[in-house]
Amino acid sequence: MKDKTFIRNRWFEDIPIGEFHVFGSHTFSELEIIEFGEKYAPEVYHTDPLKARDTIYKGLIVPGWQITSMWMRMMVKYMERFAEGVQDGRRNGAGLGLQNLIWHKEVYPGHTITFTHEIIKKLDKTIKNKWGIIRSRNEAFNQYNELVMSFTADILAEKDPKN
Amino acid sequence: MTIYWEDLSVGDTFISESNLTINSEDIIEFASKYDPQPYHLDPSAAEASIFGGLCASGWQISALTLRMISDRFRAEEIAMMGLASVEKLRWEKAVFAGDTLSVKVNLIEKISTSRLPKTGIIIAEALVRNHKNESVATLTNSFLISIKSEDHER
Repeated sequence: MKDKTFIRNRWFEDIPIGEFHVFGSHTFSELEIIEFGEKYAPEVYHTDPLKARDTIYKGLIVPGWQITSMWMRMMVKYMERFAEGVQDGRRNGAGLGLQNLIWHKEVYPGHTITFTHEIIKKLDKTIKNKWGIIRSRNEAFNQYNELVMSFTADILAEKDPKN
Repeated sequence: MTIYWEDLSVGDTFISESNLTINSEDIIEFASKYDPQPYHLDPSAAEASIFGGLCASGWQISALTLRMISDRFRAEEIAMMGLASVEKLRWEKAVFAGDTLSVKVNLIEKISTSRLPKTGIIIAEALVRNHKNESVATLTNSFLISIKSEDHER
C-alpha cells in the first residue's frame, strides 16, 4: 500500500526530473468520435463519416481536444492504480496551463494511441507559499509509432513544509 | 460567401455570438469520461478541494472555447479546417457550474503554409471570460484555414 500511494502522495521535492511513465493505450471508436464531435467540434469531419470523405481528411478524424482529453483520462486512471483510496488527499494540484500543444498527425477511428508523460523541469517558483510547479513533456503515438500529439504542461505540486 | 485564408487580416477580431452556460450535468458528464477527479465529479468532495466547488475540467473549457470559436467562424463562413496547435494556454480561474462563458478572438499572425495542402494558418489569441467579466483562460491558437488562390497550390 505504501508503494501504491507513493506516486500521488509525494512532495514537490521528491519528484525526480527524468521520471517517465507510459499511461497506457486507447483505441478510438467511430461512435465516441461522433459523440464528442457533436458536443464540442461539430465539423463534418468529426460528426459525419460519409461527408467526411469529401473533406481534405478523406474520413472521420478524432478532434484534437478529444485526443488531449483522453491523455488526461489515461493519466488519472494510471495514477489511481498507484493511489487507491488516496482521492483528493494527494499532493499533486491543479494544472496551470500548457505550451506547444501540437497535433502532428490525424487519428482515425480504430487507431490505437499510446500516451506518455515525462517530468522535464521543476520551476523555481513558489505559489501561495505552498505549491511548486512541475513541467512535463507529454506525447501520444499511434500504432505505427508515429507521434500524433505532444505538449508540455505545468502542474502544481505541494512543497514539503519541512523545507 | 466563403471566407478564405487570403480574406483574413492581422487585427481582425471575432466575438462569440451566443454566450455559453455550463451546468453541473455537463461538467460531470465530461469529467466521468475524460477527467475523473473528485472536484469535477462530486459536489461535496469539490467543496473540500482547493477549488471550493464543482468546477469544469480545464480540458472541457479548452474544447468549449474551440466550439464557441468554430460556431462563430461558421457563421462568418470562414473555411476553417481545424486546429493545428495551441502555442500557449493558461487556465486562470476555475469555471463553476452555472458560469456563463464568452470568448474574444484576435488575429495576430498569418502563415501561408501548413502541413496540409492548400491550407494556411492564422494565429489568434482567444480570451475566455466568465459572466463576471473575469478572465478564466487565455489560449494562443493556430487555426488551419483553406487557401483559395491557385498560386498557393502545392
